[in-house]
Amino acid sequence: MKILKNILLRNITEDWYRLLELLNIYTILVVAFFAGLLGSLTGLGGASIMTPILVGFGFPIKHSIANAMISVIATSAGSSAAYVRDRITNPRAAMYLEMFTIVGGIIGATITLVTPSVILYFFFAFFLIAMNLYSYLERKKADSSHENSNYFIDRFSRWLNIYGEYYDHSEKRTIKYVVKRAHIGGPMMIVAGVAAGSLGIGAGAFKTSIQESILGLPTKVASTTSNFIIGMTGLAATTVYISSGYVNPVIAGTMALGTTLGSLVGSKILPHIRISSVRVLSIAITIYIIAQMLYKGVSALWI
Amino acid sequence: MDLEILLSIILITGVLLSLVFLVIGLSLYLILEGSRIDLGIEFRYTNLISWIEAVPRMSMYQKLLSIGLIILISTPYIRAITSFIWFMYHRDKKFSLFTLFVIIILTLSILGIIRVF
Repeated sequence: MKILKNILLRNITEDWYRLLELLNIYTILVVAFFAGLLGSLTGLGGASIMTPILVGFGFPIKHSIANAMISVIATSAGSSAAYVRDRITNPRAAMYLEMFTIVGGIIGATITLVTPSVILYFFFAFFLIAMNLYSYLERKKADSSHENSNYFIDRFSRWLNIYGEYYDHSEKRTIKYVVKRAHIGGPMMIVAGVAAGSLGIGAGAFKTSIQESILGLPTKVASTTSNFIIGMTGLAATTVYISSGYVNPVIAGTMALGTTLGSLVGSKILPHIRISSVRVLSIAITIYIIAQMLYKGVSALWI
Repeated sequence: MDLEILLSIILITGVLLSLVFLVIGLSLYLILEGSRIDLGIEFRYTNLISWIEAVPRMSMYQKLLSIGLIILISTPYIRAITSFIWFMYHRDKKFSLFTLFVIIILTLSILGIIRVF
């Protein structure tokens, strides 16, 4: 048993060093580009794909999280500008929810700084499973109850008075909506902020699910508003990471450039791809991320 | 001007401007230093302000990369300030307070005053 452990241990460490040597500006740029592209196609976001790949190359997880956080600001700003202009994003809903996500982002980034790397691998995998499970269950609930549009508008949401409308080109009609259950949806965004800040990701799917299932926003408004909020959460977490010493302008710059370009290309390809292909791709990538992080976590524990 | 148009202009200007600096900075880095990355490089700025203050003393590629990243990081902050001014101008007290809260928390965090632990 001891001999087997020694052989495995030596092989794993040698492989990691060999892979780490492959990492340079070009490989990070290529990884960031494809992560941005796939992240934009699947809705998972570039950073949540980029970090597990770089970690697979032997890149330290805390360095990856801290530098990827900056690229989240870039992809958010780049992709949300058009939706804000077209009035699909609801800035008022975003500004209410940002009060919670920035607090979560700062808490999350601080948690990462004080948490041992080995735990972060498991946390990454666990959170991805939890987020996907939450989104799946909420979607199922929404399907079975058909709509929550008849939901009673509570007093706090009435006071907030956040509403809007947008023209849906696919349905060829104007869709009107009012924000509901804001007293629950707001604080829930702290959890989304903690996830985003601690893992250096946007956690966009999770934020979208909260806005859809709790606040009652239409899917398009929820996903574009979530995209808009991600940048602000990213800034809050980045302010913590700057003081950590993990930010490297060369790496952060390469990641930001790659993911932004990748997500721009992804948004151009998306309308030409079948939804079923996107779903399969999304499931495959999620399984890869979870498996990669669990493998790294178990390997790190072993060593 | 509509808030949506203002925010859209800020976002697109911020990200495009920062990408220009990042492309030039990275190209210069590749020419001068090659493609190698060094994880051991010291980045010891205690907060965003001390990073900005250090920019004039940096080498050219470091300067360009830092300016690109600082513009990028500042973009959501500028949009929060713009929203606050817009809501104040339109006498929307509720949302002026919401955006003011966001600005205060971010400012404290940028200055390194907020620490959870």
